[in-house]
Amino acid sequence: MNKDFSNIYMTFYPQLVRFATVFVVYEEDAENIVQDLFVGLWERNESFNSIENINAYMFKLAKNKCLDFLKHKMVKEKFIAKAQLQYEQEIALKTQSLEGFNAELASEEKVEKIVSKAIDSLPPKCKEIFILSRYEGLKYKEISEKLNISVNTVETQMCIAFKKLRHSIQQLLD
Amino acid sequence: MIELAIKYLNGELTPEQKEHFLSLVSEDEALKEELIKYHHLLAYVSLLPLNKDQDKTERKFLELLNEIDRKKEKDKNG
Repeated sequence: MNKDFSNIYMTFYPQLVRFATVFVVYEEDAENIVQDLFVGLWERNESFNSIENINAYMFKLAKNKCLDFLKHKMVKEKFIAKAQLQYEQEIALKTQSLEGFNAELASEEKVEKIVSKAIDSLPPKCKEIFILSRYEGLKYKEISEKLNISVNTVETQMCIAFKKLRHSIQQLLD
Repeated sequence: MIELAIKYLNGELTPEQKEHFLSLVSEDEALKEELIKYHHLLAYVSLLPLNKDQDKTERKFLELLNEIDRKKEKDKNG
């Protein structure tokens, strides 16, 4: 290993980690940032002799690395917050749906007959696609490949199935 | 709009479409009610027994018995 590089590392590593920790909060992150900085230096095989003010140079590198880290973290946190918000919205929606669901009615024998009859009365292709989706758990793309039809056709048939079923079991949904 | 609701319920929306759809639902009470109706429809559809239920149910029942045995053993040993 280049002696200059070892000396620079031994001199600056602890200082740069402490400096980075002030801005990125977690020491572990700061250590990774500084380590990454030195990996970059090593890869670029820079000659330190040509650098006029090595102190300023190293801290500038650390500053830029910390800025990259914080910008990346901000994007990530925004994404997580958005996902969390969406998750909460879906839970609220499902809770509202479940609260309004008549579980007593669901246990009645006639319900099974009504639903079964409604599915049986779907047009054959429509029924096949609906069953593959809802009972076999296939995605639209998988259905389209299995039946050699377009995804658009699957989508259209699923819409038809839902609308027809909605009409057929209307009495259960009111 | 119902087409979007159906795709949502079938897990077929892209993340962007899902985000857009959920924002529409949060602003439109009628759409939300309609979505809930279709959600209930799926709940009723899920009630039908399937042939493949048997194997899984038997396997899960065996798991349950094992779990009970482990619990009994644990209680016995204090």
